[in-house]
Amino acid sequence: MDATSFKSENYIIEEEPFYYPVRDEIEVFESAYKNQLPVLLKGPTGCGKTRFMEHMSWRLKRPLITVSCHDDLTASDLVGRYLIQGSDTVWIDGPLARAVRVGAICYLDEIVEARKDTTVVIHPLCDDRRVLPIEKVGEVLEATSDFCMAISYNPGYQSILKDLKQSTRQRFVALEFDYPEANIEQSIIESETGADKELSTALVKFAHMTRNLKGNGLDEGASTRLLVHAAKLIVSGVNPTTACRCSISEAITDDPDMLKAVNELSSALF
Amino acid sequence: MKSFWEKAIEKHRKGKGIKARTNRGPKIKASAIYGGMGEREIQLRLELHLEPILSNQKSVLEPARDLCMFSMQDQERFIETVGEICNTNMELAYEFCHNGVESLKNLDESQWQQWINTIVKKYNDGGIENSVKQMKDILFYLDELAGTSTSIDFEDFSKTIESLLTGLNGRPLKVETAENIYTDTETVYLPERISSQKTKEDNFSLIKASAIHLWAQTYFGTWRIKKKDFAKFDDMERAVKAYHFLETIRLDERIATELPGIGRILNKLNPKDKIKSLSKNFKNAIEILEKDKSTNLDSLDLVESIIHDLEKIPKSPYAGELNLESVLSITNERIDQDKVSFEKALEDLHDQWRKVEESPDEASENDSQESNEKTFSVSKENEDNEYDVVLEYGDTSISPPENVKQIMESIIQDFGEIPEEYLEPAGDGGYNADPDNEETGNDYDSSDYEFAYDEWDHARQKYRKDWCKLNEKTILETSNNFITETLKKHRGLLKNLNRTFEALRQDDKRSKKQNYGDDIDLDAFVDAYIDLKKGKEVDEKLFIKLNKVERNVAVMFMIDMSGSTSGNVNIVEKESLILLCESLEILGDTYAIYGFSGKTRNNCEVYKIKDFEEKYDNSVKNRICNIEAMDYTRMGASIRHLTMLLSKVEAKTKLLITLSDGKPDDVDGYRGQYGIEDTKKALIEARFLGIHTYCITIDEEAMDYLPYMYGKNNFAVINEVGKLPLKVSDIYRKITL
Ligand SMILES: Nc1ncnc2c1ncn2[C@@H]1O[C@H](COP(=O)(O)OP(=O)(O)O)[C@@H](O)[C@H]1O
Ligand SMILES: [Mg+2]
Repeated sequence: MDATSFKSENYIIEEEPFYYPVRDEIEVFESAYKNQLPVLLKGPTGCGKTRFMEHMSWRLKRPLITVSCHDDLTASDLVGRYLIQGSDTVWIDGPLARAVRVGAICYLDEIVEARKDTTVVIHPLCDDRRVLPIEKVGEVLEATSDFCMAISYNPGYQSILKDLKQSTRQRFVALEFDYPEANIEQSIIESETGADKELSTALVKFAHMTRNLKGNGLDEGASTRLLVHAAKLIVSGVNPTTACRCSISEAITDDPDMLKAVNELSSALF
Repeated sequence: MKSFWEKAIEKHRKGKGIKARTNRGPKIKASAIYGGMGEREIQLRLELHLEPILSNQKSVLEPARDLCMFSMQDQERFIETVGEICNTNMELAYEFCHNGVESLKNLDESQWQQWINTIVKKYNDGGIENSVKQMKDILFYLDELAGTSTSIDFEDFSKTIESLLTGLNGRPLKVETAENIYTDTETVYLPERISSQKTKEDNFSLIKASAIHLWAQTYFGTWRIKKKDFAKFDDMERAVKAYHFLETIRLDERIATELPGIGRILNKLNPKDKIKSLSKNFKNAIEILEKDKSTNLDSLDLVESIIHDLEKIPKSPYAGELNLESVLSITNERIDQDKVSFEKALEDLHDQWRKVEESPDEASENDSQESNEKTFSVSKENEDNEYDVVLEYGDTSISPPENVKQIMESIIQDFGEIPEEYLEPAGDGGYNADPDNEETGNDYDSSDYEFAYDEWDHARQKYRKDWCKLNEKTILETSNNFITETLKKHRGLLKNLNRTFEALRQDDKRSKKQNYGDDIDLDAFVDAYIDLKKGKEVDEKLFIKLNKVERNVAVMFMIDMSGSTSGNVNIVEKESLILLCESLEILGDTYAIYGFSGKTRNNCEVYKIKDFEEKYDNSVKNRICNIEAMDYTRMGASIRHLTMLLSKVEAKTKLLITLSDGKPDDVDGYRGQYGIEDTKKALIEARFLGIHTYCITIDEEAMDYLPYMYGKNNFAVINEVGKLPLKVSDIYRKITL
């Protein structure tokens, strides 16, 4: 079977991506969108930020262009660059410019990973100017009311060198994400994987145990994403203890002592 | 120069020997049964090694006598080993003489060296006592060697068990060893070694079962009892035993629901069906206690019915004992403390909410009148015995801050609820409890200080101008082998640190648009090509160069030298600094180290250990060795001074890291809220100057105030002092990654 390919700026999500609202984030995002305000999603990894963006993209019927940031990401990677075709040079828009042109939602995931000089190119788009200057072409792109800028950031990161600068963060409407409450997290696992109540309860309990260990040997507890992974394995027949080991314990730590303890916790539960 | 003893031995070898009696005991026979050396010769040769530490009380007579039962070969092997161990530690070698002879019988030459290595390793890891224990334990060691040992030791399981208990909900529990298995509700006591089961796995299961059983006692309310509950029984001890038996049944059931994996282990170790079949009363009791809703009161009621049948009960191997006395004394202390903290917290919350409600844009005027009368209550939506700790203030439910939640959970664990009287507003106190310290500066001599800093008065919401007089001193150098010892002691860790920091440093960064480099920069190339086509001037910077990361970090370490750090904390602090310096040297970050202490606002002191310009040389090392515990902890002034120093350094990233063991504290009113607020203010001032602040502490209660002072992500609490050296470097790596 061949994978279907779309141009990302034309890709409108047809089917509602499952997202379980934890608080009033959907309403807040919608009204930020209406008011043409950029949005910052704060929260640990795997707590539903990406999924939320997919859902909002479906809800607002705008294409979603996601860029995962990394420390080699340059401003040209976002804005665009000239390429050589035959003996001609052609300008190719980067994802950010494309998003502005078609009025899409541009989502920069893990923004702090990008270099600081890259981050600043979004500034003019994130205040009331709402423009993207493209210096190399000598053009200024003005965003329509359809365009939306969103970024994500994990404040639990310990590194002070990877803090989000005030000049950046103060342009955004901030939505705080965290691991959902127990019953919501259970429902998420159930609808994502078809797990039964008993399994989802046990997995969420396990997650809480690992989250209790945060700062006591673990840097981070098990995220919702990892629970979904484990549940998928278990539902397809993998023994629960093995599934927890492979998809949760090994994913959150390499320390042999902690691995042992975390595995003990899962075998106590199953 | 040969020593007296060396000469004596030589003579002895030549057959001359020492004729005179030694002063270390009565004349001994020189007979060798197995053709080996005689007592005398063995004694002399042992004394040759151990001479410096022998005395009238400490002789090697006995080992010499024991050793002459062995062959020449074994004797040689033994004496040689004694010499070898002397290189590590002479006392250890002496202990070996007295405790090691037995092992000659049990080990052949091939096993010998490994055995000695084990002993020396034990010494290096845990000191002489630990090593002696190992020497005496030769049979166990042999089992271990043959892989036939089925027992497990505390040091093998304690880490796992501690993490296991931390993962479970409820009040944090420590793990320690004791003869018996019990808990005082703050620490779980487990035996040094478990060997009653047939396999290693089963022994581990047993210890796990014990630990979880003790956790369950504290979590599911076994201890919600008073001494007088048992007063009506003639034989109180017996009644407590009966209660424990009944509680074990109830807890097993709760554990089985909560942690099915452990439930299976418990049922195997202590099958209920068997007990049911013993008598009708037992059967009845078990049926009651197995119900979901049963509590410890049910157990208490049932004591009467089974107290005469105690002898019939099979002992459950994991349950240990109920140690009423230890629990009562510790709970009373904690209950008092929790009550005080809780009331204080409520008052703070009360204040905060009053302020919120009084602010004109939040509530109408006449409403604020009422709000003064509002009180707290706890919402009692408890499903499955799990309290949802939500406070209700008037009609508003508020989710209490994390530290208050913890106190509330602890109270609920003790009482099963938050007692009514806890929720009544306490009188005044709290904020205003601190003595007004305006007048304390009577002995102040204005000429006697170098720096003066403001201090924040929280109650008045303004600064006290030039309030703290501060002097900067330099720690005197002392030369000892602390550094060498530390580097030796932590050599494994050091290797590890070196590797990680090395990796950090060698992280290559690709710089684009360079004049020359390792790779072609395609982007630059395309740009140049376009410029060329358009007839513009062409940039020649077309390469990518791999550079070492430019870190450009300056870090100031602020070391707590207050009186409370004396002893172990001081040593560990110094060790941490040494390892840290080694790591920082690899990184090439600019760093300075200052200690701080002082007494009253007129004598704040900051001690230079290393400034930013200085190299990590012998002077610095010798100053580290001489760090001593001094007086108090007036953090605000020191932070302000070090911030000033740090702000003068040129660096892209600046970082002030405090290493401490407690909250701000000084004699002249710098306590509690006042000290915390001033420290917080000083940190805000630092952050305003672009300095990142971070705190590493070993204070177990730090969660109560650190997040407030430093912010949620800017501190680390280390619960095991011994881990500090490992953690400090590790944390530094993480926060500057
Ligand atoms: N509120 C939610 N509703 C639905 N699914 C969720 C929710 N939160 C987490 N998930 C699940 O967790 C997974 C990981 O979430 P993701 O959005 O990738 O996390 P993040 O982007 O925050 O790292 C999702 O694939 C989804 O299965
Ligand atoms: Mg994501």
